[in-house]
Amino acid sequence: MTGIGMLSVEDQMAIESHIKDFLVKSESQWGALVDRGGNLFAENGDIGQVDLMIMCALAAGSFAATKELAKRLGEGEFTALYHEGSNMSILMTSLHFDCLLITVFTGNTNIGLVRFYAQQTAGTLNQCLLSASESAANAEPLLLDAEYSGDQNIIS
Amino acid sequence: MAFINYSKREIQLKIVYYGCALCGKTTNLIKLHSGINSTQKGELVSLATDADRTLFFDFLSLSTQTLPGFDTRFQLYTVPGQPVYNTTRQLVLKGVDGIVFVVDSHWDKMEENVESFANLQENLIENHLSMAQIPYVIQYNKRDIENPAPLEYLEFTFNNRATQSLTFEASAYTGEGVLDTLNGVARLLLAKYSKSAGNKATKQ
Amino acid sequence: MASNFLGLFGKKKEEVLAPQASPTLSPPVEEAKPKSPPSGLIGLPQGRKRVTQRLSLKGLQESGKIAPDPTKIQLPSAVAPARAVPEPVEVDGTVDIPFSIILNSIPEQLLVADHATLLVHPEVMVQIGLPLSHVLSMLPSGKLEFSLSDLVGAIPAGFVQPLENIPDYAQTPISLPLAEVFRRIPPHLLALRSDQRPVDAAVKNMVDPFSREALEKAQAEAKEKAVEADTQFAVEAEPAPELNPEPIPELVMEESVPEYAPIPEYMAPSFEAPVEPDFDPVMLAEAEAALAAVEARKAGVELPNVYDPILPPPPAYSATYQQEEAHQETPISEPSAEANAWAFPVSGQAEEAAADSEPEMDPALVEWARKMAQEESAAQSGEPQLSEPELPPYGEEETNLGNDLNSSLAQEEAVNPDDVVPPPAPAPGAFEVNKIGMFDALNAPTRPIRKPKSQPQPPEIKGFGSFNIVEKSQEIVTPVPSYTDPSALPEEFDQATPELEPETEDSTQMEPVGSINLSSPASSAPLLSPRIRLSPTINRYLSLDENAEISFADVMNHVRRWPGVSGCVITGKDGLPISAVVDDVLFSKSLSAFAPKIVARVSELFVDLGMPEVQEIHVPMDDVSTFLFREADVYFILLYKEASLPQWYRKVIKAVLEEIATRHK
Repeated sequence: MTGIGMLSVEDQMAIESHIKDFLVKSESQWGALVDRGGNLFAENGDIGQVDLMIMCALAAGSFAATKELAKRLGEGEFTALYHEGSNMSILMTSLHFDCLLITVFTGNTNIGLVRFYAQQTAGTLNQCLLSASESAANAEPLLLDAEYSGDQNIIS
Repeated sequence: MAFINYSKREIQLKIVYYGCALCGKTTNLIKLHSGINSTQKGELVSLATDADRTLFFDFLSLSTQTLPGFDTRFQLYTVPGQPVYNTTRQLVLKGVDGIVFVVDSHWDKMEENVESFANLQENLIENHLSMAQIPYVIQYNKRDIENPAPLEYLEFTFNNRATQSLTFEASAYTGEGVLDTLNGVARLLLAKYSKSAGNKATKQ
Repeated sequence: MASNFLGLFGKKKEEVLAPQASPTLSPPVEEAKPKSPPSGLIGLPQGRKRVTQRLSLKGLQESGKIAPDPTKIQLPSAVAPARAVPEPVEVDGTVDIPFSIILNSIPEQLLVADHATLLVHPEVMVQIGLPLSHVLSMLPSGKLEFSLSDLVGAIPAGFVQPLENIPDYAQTPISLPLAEVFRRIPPHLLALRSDQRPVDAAVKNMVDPFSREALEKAQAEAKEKAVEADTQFAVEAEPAPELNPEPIPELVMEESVPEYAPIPEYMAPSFEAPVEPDFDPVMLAEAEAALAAVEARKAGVELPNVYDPILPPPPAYSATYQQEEAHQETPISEPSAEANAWAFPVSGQAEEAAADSEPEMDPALVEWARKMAQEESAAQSGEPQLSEPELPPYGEEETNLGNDLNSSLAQEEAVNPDDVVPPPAPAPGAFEVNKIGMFDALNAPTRPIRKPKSQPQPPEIKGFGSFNIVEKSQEIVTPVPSYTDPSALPEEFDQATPELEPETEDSTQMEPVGSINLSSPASSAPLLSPRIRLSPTINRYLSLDENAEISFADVMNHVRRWPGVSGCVITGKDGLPISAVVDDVLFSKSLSAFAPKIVARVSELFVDLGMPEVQEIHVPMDDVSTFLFREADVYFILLYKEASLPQWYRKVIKAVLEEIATRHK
C-alpha cells in the first residue's frame, strides 16, 4: 500500500495552508487533497452545497477511469486531468502516495494560471505527504475502547 | 486504505460490495440509503446505464460514532458485475478496507458466483492485496426466491476456507438482512481499532 | 470435469444383474462390448445397474428400431474450454441420480432422437451412480460437468449416438443440474473443514455501528427537530394567541425618580435665537445668478457673461501640446506672465481677457505652425508619410503607459531650471481663471516642460531605406493603415528584410502544442490547424515564402530572430501557451499564464475610467522589457532588450496577431 494511513493535526494544517495559498494565487474556488481511493484528506475554499465525499469519490474514479487511456498512449498514467465547463472547471493533478490535488475554479481565472500554480503546489504537497507518511509509519496504531454488548469475556 | 484524520477526529473506511452481475449489490445500497437517517448518510450516486446496470460504481457515504472520540465514515461502493468491466472493478477496489461479497442464491447462478469470487481474489492481487488481509463478509442474497440454494451448499462452497467468515442471509429486494450485513462488515473493520479485540499497541 | 472414470462409476456389486438386451426393440443384440476409447480418452467403467423390465413402446415397435435422425446434425461446439481439473476428494461411493436428469442435460443433437421421444422410455428411470469424490470436488466450482464419453459408458446404450459418429464431441462437457445432484448427497459429506478458524468473538460481540436502536433514536431526534422547526415557523406565521395570564403585580420602585429642580437664573444658559447672517449683496447676487445659470443650462438656454459654475470643457490638449513642442528649443528665460493662462477660465471672460492683453506670438511657434500646415496639406494630397513615429519627448524615464503625468511631475524638482521652458502664450480663445475662485484648485502651478534629451535614433535596419523623420509631429502615433490591405502599406514594408539574428542554440522552444494532454477544447483548437495561412504580405514581413503555410512555431522562430528580441510567446485566453520561443521554458509558461490576467485587470481599471480596453501593455525594465499585445482572445508576449520597442516590430506583431485572431476565432 502506498497511500497515507493517517494525518496528524500538524500535517493537516500544513496541507490546508498550502491549499489556501494555492487558491489565493490561482484565484480558484475550491481545492482538496484526496487519495485514489476517494478519501478526503484536506480541503479549503467554498464549493457551495456540493457533497464533498461524492466530489472526492467521483474525482478519484474519473482519474482512475482514464488510466487505461493513458496506457494505450504509452503513458503510465496522466499527470493531470482537466475538465472544462461553461462556468466551472476542474483540474486534477497527480501527486505522490496515490494522492490527487483537485481544483475547482470559475471563469474568473484561467487554466493556465491554475495549472501553473498547481504544479508548484504539487511539489510542496508531495513534501507534506512524505512527512505524513513517515509520521504514519512511526505512529502507534489507534486503539480505542469500543462498545460491546453481552458477555465481554468471550475471547476466542 | 483506512484513513485516520486526527485533526477532524475522523476515520474513513472504504467498503466494496462485490459479486456477479445482477446479484443485488446496488439494491443493497438503495435499501441502506432509504433506511438510514439523513443525518448519517450522504447522497447515493449511481453511475449506471439507462437500464440501471452499474457502469462504473455506486457510491454511498455513511457516518456513525461507534468509536469513542472519533466519527467513523463508511464509504460504500459497488462494482459492475458484468465480466467485461473487470478493469473497472480493479479500479474501484483500490484502497478497499472491507468487502461484502454478495451471492445470488439461484441455482443456475452458482457458477457465476464462484467465478466472481475468484475474480475478486485476482483483482485484489492486482491491487497488491489479498483475501487474507482484507476483512470480508458474505451475504447470501435472494433468499426469498422459490427454491434457493440451501445454506449448506453455500457455506460449503463459499465459506469453507481457513478462516470462517461472517455470513448473512438477506433479501435486498425487501431490505431484509441488508443492515445486518453492513453492521457485520463494519464491526470487522472497527475491531481493528479496538483494544478488546486482542490488538496490541505495537509499532507497525 | 472428471477425467478418470476407470472403475469409478460404482463397483461391480453382487446384486448387479446380468447384462440384458438393450432396451430398444431392435433385434436382440449382444451387449455392446466396451470398445477401446479413442486415444486420449479414459476407459469407461464396467458395470451398471440396469432395469430388468423390458420396454414396449408402440411407436417404436412400428418403426422397428430407434434410428438416428437422418437430417443434418447441428452439433454444439465440440471442444470444451480448458478448465482446471479439481482434485478428487477421497470419498468412496456414488451419488445416484435418475438417468432422465442426465438425458435432459445432453443436447438433442447428440442423441438418437429428441428428448420427448426418449423420455417416455422406461429405462430413463435407471439410477446412474456418479462418483462421489468427483462430485464433491466439483461442487465448489458451482457446476457439475462430465464429458460425453464419460457419461456414455455409464448410461444405457442406444440413447446417445455412437461415439464413432461424433468423435469430435466426445469431450463435450455435459453440465448436470447442480440442485438435483446436491440434494442427493448425504449431508454429512458437506461439513466444513474441521480446522477452520472461527470469527473473532470481539467482532461478534461489538455493538452494531448502525444498530436499529441507534437508527430509531436518530430518526426520532431528526423527527423532533423537524417538528420543532415546523412549529416555530407556524408560530412566526400566525399571530400569537391572546393570553390571559395572571396580572403581573405592579413594580413599585422604592425610590421614585426625583423631578428636576429648576435651574437658578445665574446658571441658566443664555440661548439666543440664531440671527441670519448678513450676506455680501454682491456675492449673493452672483450666487443667485449662478443658480439661474444652472437652471438655464438645464433648460437649454445659454446665458453669456454669466459666471458659469459648471466646469468648462478642458482645453484642447493637442493644441497645448503643440505649443509645448514649439517651445522645446527656445531658450528659457524667466517664466512669462502668461503662465497662469493654463488655468481654466470661464467662457465669455476669456475673450475679454484675451482682447485686453494680446500676447506676443513667439516666432518659433509661428515657424512650427507653418511647418505643420505644410505637412497637413501634404498628407491630404496623398503623399505617403514615411515618418517613423516619434519617440516620446520625455526622455529615458518615460513609461509608456500612456501620458504618465505623475512621473514627469515628480521629476520636476530634479529638472535644471535652465531647461524649463515656459508654457506658450495661450491661443486666442484661451480661458482665464474664474474670479470667484471656484477654480482655484485648477490654477495649478506652471507645468514646466523639459527640453528633451538627445532623441535615440532608430536602429539601422539594412534594406529598410532611409527614414524621413518628422521633427515635430502633431500626433504621438502615426495613423495605422489597414494591415490586411497590402496596398495601404508603404512600399518600404514590402522591401523590408531586417537583418535577423542567427538562430542560437540557447533558445528553447516550447514543446509543440500536440504534446499537451489536456482535454480543454480551447487548447485543442491549434492542434486542429497547426499551420496557419497568413496573408502573403505578412509572410513577406516575416521574410517567408508568400504562399507558404506557416506554423505558429515558424512565426515565433522568425520573430525571435529580430534584433533585440530575447523571446516571444503566443497564448490564448486560457493562459496556455500556443507557441513560444523563450530560453526559460518555465518563464514562458508563467508569462502565458499571467498575460490574460494582467491585460484583463488593467483593462478593467481603464474601463472603469471610461476608457477603452487595453490592447497593449509595455513594461520596460533594465534588462528585458516585456510587451504584451492582445487581439480578441489571442495574446502576444514579446521580450525585448530595450525599453522601447521599434514601431516596425509593433506593427508587424499587431498585424500578425490580428490575422491570427481573425482567421482562428
